[in-house]
Amino acid sequence: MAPPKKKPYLLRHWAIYSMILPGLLYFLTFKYIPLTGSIIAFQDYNIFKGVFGSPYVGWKHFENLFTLPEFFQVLRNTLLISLYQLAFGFPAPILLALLLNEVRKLAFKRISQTVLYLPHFMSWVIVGGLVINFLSPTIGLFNDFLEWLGFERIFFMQEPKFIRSIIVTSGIWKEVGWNTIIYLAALAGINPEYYEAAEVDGAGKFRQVVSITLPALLPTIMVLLLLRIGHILDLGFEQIYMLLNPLLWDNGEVFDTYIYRVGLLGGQYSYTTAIDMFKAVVGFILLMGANRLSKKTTGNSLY
Amino acid sequence: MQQRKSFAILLGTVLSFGTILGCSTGGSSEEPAPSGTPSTGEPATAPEAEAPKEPLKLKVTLTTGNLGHVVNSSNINEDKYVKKLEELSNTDLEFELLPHENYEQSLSLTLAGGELPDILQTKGINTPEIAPAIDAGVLLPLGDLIDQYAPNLKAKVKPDSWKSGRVAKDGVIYGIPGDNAITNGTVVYIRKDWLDKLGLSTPKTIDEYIEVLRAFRDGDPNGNGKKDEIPFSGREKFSHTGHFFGAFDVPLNAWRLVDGKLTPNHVRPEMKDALAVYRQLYEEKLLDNEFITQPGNVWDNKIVTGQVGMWAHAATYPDTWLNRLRENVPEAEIALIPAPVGPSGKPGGVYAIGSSVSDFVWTIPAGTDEAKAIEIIKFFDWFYSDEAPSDFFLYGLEGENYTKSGDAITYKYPSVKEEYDAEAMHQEWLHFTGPKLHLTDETFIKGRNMGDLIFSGIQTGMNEGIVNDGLDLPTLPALQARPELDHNGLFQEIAAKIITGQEPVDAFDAYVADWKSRGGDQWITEATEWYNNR
Repeated sequence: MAPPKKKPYLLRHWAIYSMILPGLLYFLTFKYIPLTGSIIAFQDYNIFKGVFGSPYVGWKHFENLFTLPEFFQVLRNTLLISLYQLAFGFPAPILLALLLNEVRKLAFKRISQTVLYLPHFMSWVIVGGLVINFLSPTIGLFNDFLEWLGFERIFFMQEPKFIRSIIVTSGIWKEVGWNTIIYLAALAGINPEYYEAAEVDGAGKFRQVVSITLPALLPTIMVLLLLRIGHILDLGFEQIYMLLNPLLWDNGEVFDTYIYRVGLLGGQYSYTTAIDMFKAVVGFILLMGANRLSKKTTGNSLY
Repeated sequence: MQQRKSFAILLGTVLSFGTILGCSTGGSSEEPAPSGTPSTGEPATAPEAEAPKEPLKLKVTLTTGNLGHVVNSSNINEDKYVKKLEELSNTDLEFELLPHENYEQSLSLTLAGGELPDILQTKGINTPEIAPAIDAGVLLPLGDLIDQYAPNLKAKVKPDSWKSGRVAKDGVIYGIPGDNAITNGTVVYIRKDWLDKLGLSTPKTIDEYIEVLRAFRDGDPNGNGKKDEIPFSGREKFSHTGHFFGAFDVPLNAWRLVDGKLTPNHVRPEMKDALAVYRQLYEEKLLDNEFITQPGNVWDNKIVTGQVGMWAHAATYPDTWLNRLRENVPEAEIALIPAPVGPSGKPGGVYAIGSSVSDFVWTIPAGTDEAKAIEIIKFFDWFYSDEAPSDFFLYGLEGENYTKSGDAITYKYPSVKEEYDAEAMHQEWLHFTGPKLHLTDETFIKGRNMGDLIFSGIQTGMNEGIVNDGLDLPTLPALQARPELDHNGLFQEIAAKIITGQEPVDAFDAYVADWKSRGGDQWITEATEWYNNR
């Protein structure tokens, strides 16, 4: 009798491997199959004729995009706003999480956390309206305050130089509390013995944060940062659309709002798909670069 | 829900009993039931008439129109007005509602879903959402059906409407137009009590307008001792702010034939002069300095709280404005006055004269079988026919909205928002096509509260008007490639900058040059070709 044939590795652990199926299916149905729809970027797409009936036009829509006189302006705005969000918006929840972590009064911590989460649940339509009203020169609280301090009232929503700050600040205000959640979870996982040992060695609070908390958080920070970079050209349409007006296009128009203005309102499916593909390609390149950089410098990477 | 439904049934039963009783006591026996009256007579006429025809089942996709009565209805298909229309027209209507706020997007989504209703409401067959449907052969050509089965439509729809680019393409009719009774319906509103208080007369020219606005700014017409009046207010995208464009013959979104070329107004030299006036208004704070960023509801709020001296809005709407205004300022008066006369000496207007096709054009998908298509066409024809229940469309439900004794009708004119919404429901929303009596019938209009004001507004609007040579122009290839050429694109930016003083007025010339080099010239060529072949 021959010894029983050893089953292949995959079959032996089928139960564990089968767990990957739902995820795989999800990505196939909702990510990869729709991806084929990107082909309409190369067509003059007619929704009634569908993907198979619409004529191919090659690179026409991409040429339209790259020859657009505003192309570099829109690209610059998108990158700049994104960079500002990265520079100010990304560290904000880390900082806040560190601060919250040091709060010892549990009741105060709970209440402040809840208050900080709340704006996340409001839609941009509401927050945008709040921001515009808040900054209004006639009824705005902020302008009342400026006047009280002895300054002139300012038309914030008509001055292109303010729009990027307004976008970044309002974005931070809305999401900072929500984004602390993941960091607080990571902070909860740090072994308290480290702190005890540090205290014995005579390290102060600040030293403990720098030498223990931050290094422990670093992997989480890196992964989240990398994920962010992949979406660097996705600013989220709603927020900026709510805050924009023709006077602010110079500094505030980004790809998402541009797509909306020319695409959805004009029924330009192919053109907007082309813009979207361009965005995705730029995001992909940036992500690859950042991942490699991160691997080289910190040893952490997405894959 | 369940409870509400049974209540509705109960109510319906009680009401129909009521009307049957009313019929048997009031209607004399020798007179045949007139077809116009609510036909509760089914039990009475059924014996001698042939078996009643099965109601025509129709699925209709349309906007809510943002009407409170429609939006708040838990089930629109059970609504009493819808039920009445079904009964009168012998149909079984199934409405599928699209939100009014993002109508175009919702329509695109419906179309992308692939399942089309029997009747599809559109804003015209040349709109970006619908135009591809024509190329793909998704909509039914209606010309032959109309010729054969719709004598009333053929006779009563204005000939211009059938030629409109929103209804026909290359001579083939794809849509049934709604009727636009008033083609120039936006007028200038002014606070008459402010004028009287300051001893001013109605302004006529641009200069007189500016004088009045200055007086509004400085003369403290609201009498609170503070300089807080906003002489003239408008909304973002120059919406409801257009009468100074009108004075220079350059209303936005309109075209003019200049030296044989069809040219959009937003690049004509006259536009530069108009922008200079807006700049002056803005600088002197005669024009609301927030108007570029101002959404409709903020604008609205400023007006009804009595801060604003002048604005522009629909001629048929002054009673609503005045009622709301008087809640805050009891002594307020408004007047609807002619728009400023410009350098040409011709009367202006707020917008260019609009299309005789109303907001909506009804289409039928190509897959519809012929028998049904004929029935649908007959349904539309019915709105113009003698059988069309004008009492229902004008007054609503007998016994509820109006009472009739002999020929005399006593109508309960609406006074609160819910009633206005209900009125708009049967006069506009359910009135797919057909004559708009509530806008043209002088007795009806004057019978309203403040009817004289409304009538004067309609007359004011009708007396002025700026011709748009590019009326109902379809979306042409040049615009498809460069959407920013339209007046909602580059123009908005340069206009806003010139008016707020960020750029000199002369920057307009550079903008026009840029506009032309981006494909504007191509667009003019295409539009001119369209104009000549129209």
